[in-house]
Amino acid sequence: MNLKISPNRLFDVLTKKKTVLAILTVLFVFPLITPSRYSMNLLAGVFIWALLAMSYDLLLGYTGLVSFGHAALFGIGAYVSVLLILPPYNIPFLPAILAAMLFGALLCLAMGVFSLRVKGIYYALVTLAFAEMIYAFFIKWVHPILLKKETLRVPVPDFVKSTSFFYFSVAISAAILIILYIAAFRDLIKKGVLARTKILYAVLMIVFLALLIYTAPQKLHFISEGSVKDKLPTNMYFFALMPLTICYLIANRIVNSPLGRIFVAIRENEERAKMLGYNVFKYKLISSSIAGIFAGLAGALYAPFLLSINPDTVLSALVTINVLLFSILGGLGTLIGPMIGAAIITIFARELSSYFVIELFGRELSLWMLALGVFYALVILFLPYGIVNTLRWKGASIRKAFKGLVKSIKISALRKQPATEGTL
Amino acid sequence: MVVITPEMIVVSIIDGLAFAMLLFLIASGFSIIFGLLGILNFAHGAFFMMGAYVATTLFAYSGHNFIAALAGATLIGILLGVPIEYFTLRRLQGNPIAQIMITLGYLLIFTQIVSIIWGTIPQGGAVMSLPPSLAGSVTVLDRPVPTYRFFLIFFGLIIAASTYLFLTRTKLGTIVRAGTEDAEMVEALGINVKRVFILTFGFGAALAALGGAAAVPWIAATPEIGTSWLFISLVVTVVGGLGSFKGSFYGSLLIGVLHQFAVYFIPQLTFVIDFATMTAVLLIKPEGLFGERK
Repeated sequence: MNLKISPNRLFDVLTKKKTVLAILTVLFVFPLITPSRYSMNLLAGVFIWALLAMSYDLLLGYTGLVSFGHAALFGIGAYVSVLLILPPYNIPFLPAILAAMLFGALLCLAMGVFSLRVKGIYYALVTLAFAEMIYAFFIKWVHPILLKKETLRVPVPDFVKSTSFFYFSVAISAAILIILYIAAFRDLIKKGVLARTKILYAVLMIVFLALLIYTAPQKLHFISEGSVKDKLPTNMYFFALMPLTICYLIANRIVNSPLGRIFVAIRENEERAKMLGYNVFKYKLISSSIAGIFAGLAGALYAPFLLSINPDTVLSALVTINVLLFSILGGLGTLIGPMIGAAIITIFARELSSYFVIELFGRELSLWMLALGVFYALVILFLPYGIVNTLRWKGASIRKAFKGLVKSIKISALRKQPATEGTL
Repeated sequence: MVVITPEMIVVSIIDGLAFAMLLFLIASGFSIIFGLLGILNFAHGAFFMMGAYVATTLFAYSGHNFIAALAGATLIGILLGVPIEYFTLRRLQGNPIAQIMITLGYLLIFTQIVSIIWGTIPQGGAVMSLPPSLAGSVTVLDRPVPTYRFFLIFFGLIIAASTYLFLTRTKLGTIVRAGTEDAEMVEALGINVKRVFILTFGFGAALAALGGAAAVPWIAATPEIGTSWLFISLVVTVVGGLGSFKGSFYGSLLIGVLHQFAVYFIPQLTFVIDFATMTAVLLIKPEGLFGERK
């Protein structure tokens, strides 16, 4: 693997992706501005699903592997971390998360060694088979025989409940912000040109910083005075956001490295990649292991967020369908697209689902899933390449049209000039 | 552990054969559609489920007329399948991932529609009062076996034989088989392949809905049967070879009998056995038992 991570290269990535930088800044400052428990809780869920969707995009969007077994990785991550925390082992939470990531990668390797021998739709079906077998194993064996209960209650790790975690996360986000700011300003200074857009950008960042400094004491007071119940959603928010940020930066680095190029080469034309001398099987295994690590992490974060897990919530095919939906809606092969898809659907599901309850035949019915299904079908029908990809193409074509327009105006102006001169 | 006796083996084989015929009804259409259109049609589970539900309702409202229930379900299959192909799948030609995803969307939509119209209470099942000629039971080795199982085996074999004759002895059937080999070549020969596509899709959907209607006196209709039967028919088709009609027949015999064996003797492992069989077949012969390597 030729994957060099040096601070300079990392800064380059940050400064090139202005939109991402802006989104990250807003996300880190957001809880310090509005202390609403509801939105914190909602967004924490969004981050976890976004992490899972991003890991799926590495597989489907970058390597072209249609896997229907992503729920297994997510569920195994959740179960491994929870079973390690609970009494017989009593392992602290952070090592348990690491174990979940390790298990995600190992499961991916084990599944990949079998399933990557077949291609295309067969690969999808073998992964589906693995996921369903693991689901059946948990529902028929682990729960009734090993655990003797239907759902597993998850204790919230002590450090997430504590006030010091809040200070810690504020410190971390401050550190991240400072790094981002240094990166941005370094870019400004290095270029030596204070272009107008860059000044705007700098002013925006300073405004954010000022807001942060202005509201932080108020918020800190609220947190330190409030009960555990008040603290928990905010802590959960940071608890989900920090891994997501780190994973996004790592994934972004990977897909822009030579390794990521090989993934794309395999997606575009597997035979050609093979002819060029790449061990396609090995690179597919690497890609799916990376996805497995991220998916395991997402599962491990989801368990304390949900407070209780059972095979239906973390291991069933519905998880895979959800992730597919996020990826398709957002746009494959963009990393940020599936995350946006996850955000849109998760937020809409929470905000709008109560409006879709109607009374029919004397029963209260929720039409939300039906509406979501119709929405999903419409998205595939009219935006088959997802929001982000469509926007990029539309954006490019609009820019092109605009440039063409400018050019034609210039040309016509030029043509007019000789004509007026000619009359002289 | 369950004690294995010869009677139970015989009874489980009869059940397995009846189950295999139901599997064949859903899997054969699935397989032909994949072969011809290149679409892994997840909506097939939805057609099966809609067939089952419509059959229960028609059966209740037509004064326990079983033939009407079967015919109505088949009609529903056609009425759902043809517009889905014409208005949506055709638009997405050339983007196979989107085609698969949209059929998955239909499965979700129909599962929701069914649970809205009929609720989550199981419909049909053993409580359906079938006509007297089908309702009784036959004693096999001192164990009663419902007559309906024998009817299913008979019915399935008739459908299989007539579909086989249709595919091999008629011009349209020949076109379908040729299209499975190479649809572009068939189009180049001056045949309107799109019309063949829509006919095949409608036919496959009708078979699946008929399968659902035939299954409902035995297996009660719940909103989950769409997904679970889709998974089993996926297994069957992959074991037999995607796109192969013969493969789907033998595949459903194999999986049907194995599944019912598991139901009788190791009930915890039924789904595991199906998927384990599929994985084993795929790893040994990735194109399936009767599939051709392309």
